[in-house]
Amino acid sequence: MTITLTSLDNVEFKVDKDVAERSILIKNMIDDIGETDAPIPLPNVSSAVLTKVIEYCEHHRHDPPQVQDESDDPRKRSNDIEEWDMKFMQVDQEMLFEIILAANYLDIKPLLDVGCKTVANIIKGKTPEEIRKVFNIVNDFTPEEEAQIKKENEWAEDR
Amino acid sequence: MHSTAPPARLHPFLLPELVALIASFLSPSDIITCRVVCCHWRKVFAPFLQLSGSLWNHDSSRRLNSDAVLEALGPFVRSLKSVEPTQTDLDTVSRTCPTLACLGLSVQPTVVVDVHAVSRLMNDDRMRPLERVEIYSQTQRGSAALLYCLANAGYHQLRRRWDKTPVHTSASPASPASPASPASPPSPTADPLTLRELAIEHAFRRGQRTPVYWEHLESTLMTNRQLRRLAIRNALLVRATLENSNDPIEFDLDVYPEEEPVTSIPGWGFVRTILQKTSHWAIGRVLQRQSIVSLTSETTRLVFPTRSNLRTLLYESSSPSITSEREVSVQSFAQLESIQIDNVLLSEPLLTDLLSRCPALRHLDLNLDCSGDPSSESWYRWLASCQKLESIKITTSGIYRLTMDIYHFWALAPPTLKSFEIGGCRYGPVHFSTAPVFNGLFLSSPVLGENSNANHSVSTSQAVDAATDSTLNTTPQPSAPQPTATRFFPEWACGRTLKRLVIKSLFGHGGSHMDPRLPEFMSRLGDLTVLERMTFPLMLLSTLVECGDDRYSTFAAMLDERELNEKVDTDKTGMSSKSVGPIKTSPTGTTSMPSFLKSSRRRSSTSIAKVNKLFAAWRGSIEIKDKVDRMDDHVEKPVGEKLVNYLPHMPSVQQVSLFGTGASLSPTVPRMQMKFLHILMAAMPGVRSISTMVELYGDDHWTMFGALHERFMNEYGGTGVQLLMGERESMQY
Repeated sequence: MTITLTSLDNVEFKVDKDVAERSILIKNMIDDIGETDAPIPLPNVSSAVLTKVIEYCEHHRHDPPQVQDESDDPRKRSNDIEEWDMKFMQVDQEMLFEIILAANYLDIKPLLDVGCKTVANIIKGKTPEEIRKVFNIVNDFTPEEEAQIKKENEWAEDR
Repeated sequence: MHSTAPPARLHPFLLPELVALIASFLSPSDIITCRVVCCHWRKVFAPFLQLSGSLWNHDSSRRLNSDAVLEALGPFVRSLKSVEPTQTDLDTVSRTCPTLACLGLSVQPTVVVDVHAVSRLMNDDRMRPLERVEIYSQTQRGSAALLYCLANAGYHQLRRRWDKTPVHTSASPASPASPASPASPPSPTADPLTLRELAIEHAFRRGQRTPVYWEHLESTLMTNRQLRRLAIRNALLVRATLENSNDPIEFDLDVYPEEEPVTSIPGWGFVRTILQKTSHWAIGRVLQRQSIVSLTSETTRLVFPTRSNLRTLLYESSSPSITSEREVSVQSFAQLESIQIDNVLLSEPLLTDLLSRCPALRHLDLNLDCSGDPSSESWYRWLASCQKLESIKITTSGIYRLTMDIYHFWALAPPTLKSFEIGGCRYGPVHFSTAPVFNGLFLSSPVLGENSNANHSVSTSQAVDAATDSTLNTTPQPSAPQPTATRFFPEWACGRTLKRLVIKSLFGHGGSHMDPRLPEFMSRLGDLTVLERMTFPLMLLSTLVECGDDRYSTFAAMLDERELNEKVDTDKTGMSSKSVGPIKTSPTGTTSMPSFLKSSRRRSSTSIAKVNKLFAAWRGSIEIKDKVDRMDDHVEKPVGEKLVNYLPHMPSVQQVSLFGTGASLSPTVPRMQMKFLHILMAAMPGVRSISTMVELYGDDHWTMFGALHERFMNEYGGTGVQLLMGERESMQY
């Protein structure tokens, strides 16, 4: 069965049902309204982003459903990303953030994880200045605040 | 203000759930860095910052401006150690660290613990997240005072939880502490302290351990009913008083660095009240309820061995909820799941007393300083009570011998056991004087005290007698062994759960007699159907190979013949210089050699091929034969020409580690030979790696190992099994 999805900019995408149902949001909508030919509107996702999301879902259509292990220590989660996913995430920063937001909105946990891992990997090991540069962030601390923060961190790192 | 440019319609760093997810993939140091990026990031990453620090408030040279730092970073501090319990600093900690989960209290020799301040902290409602308390003391008075405070706090918590009457601040004659600070009175239903982990470590003073008083520890365990993990390190665990105790002399008073009257021990009156006032209705009712809750959640019967001197102070046998089938002491430390006792000197009765009251125990790590001989009876007394154990590790420190009768462990090891490690020594060799093979396994005398049983060769009748001791008679175990005259070892109760077995038996110099139970001990390893990792001394196997037992004669002859054939082949190809180790012939090889091997003595090419063919056929059929052998009582039956391997069939084993004897002074370290590898490969078809310690190859270990490795690869290269050589530290135990 084919599902029609409509993006923010009114572009229609026809996708297989099992691909569309990688999104828990869409799956629940289909369950609620029953099988229908009517397009499903996705007002928070642009066509460019939706194209990428569908590409991801197509690739992972046969993946087993992800099981959330509550006992897992979030601090011990692996930052490993599969090769295909890593290439998939090689996009500009704006698109990366958009994919993360779309995955969050559409409730596609594996895609959300990959997106956040990508952001975390960008941050890892960098100095504050490097992070500011990568994400184009302005340092808005006052000199006094910065001195205080440095002192705090010395204590925290020295312990 | 979020200062990312250009401003996005929506941004992941604006959504807390996305920040949380990103932060979950970051290390604490990365999160600290993130908090320095900009004001917005400082705010959004704050909840994910967890700091661990040390206050060092007793050391002016190391102490920073801790008040200012705690004011700034206190909300992020999850663990704070090296805190000397002074009133000022404890007040600062309780005020500034609302998420503190671990508190390390350190007591210097000259410091008198302010029990009022500590009690106030423990009873402070703001300390609710505190789950772990670490006590590091250089004096027995320091740990006694802190344990008293914990017991006091636990007591008040119990009363608040169960007692509808108002909480009195003077709960005991010796309680000097008010339960809460006037500024923050606890609510009647609040649990300010939910202690889940307690670690006690003492410093050595003048080369000796200082005592931790059992009464203080006991009352702490009894009143803090949520305690899950207990660790005691570098201490002498003793009763503060011997009065009314039926225990024999438990310790030598000379070991006390500082003798003192018990009445001067901090909190003694309170502890005594907790432990001895049987009519104390509040505690009695609380503990009774606790035990009922514990019982109702149990599916298996809990049985606690009773002892003549075991106090039943708080036990109410008239309770309708406790059936006669469920004999249980309300003194149990029902929630305790993990105990680590490291380098602690304690008496056998104390050890038994502690462990036999832990029905929920899952992990036990004992590194004992056994300056005496523990009796073989001590182990099963408590093991029967710990029927949820998943891992047992028992080692020794010092140069003393650890004695334990494997028979009792064998019979009573719970069916939940996954890891079992005995023997070994961290600091030095363990000396055994007789019966080298089983001394590491049949540890047959006590920890400290009176039951010094130096006879290491426990006879069968002694073992049987011990297993049918009156203690077991009064509290029969479902898994209790039913030994017979010919079978020393019943089936392992943990055969379907044990995945890791480490036998670091240590063999001393002198003595060369094999324990007659060794063959059955080895054959019983076949009960361990899910065993994945196994470590044992090669001497265990080499002794068995050289024992001349008739049941292995056919197998031994075949191995020897094969060894000789390989040597002939090697000689023919001019590689005799690479022969590995002395090739020993079984003492009974000549007389018991089967006909097909006798006929191949001429070593024609046909006979060599025949032996090789038979060997290959045997390797393929050994599984069936071993199953048949295990079904038979082969001790009684004539062996004939059956091919019985020295090791049973263990297809689940994936890793094997071998070392020599474990005793550096032993003059008879066995050498690794191909025949041992044949035995392992035949018994363990699922093995992936065989790790061998360097001592098994003599001085020229690289040459020896290289030659053996070449032979092994020629024989088993296609199986993908790795033969490794390494130092003890690099081997995976």
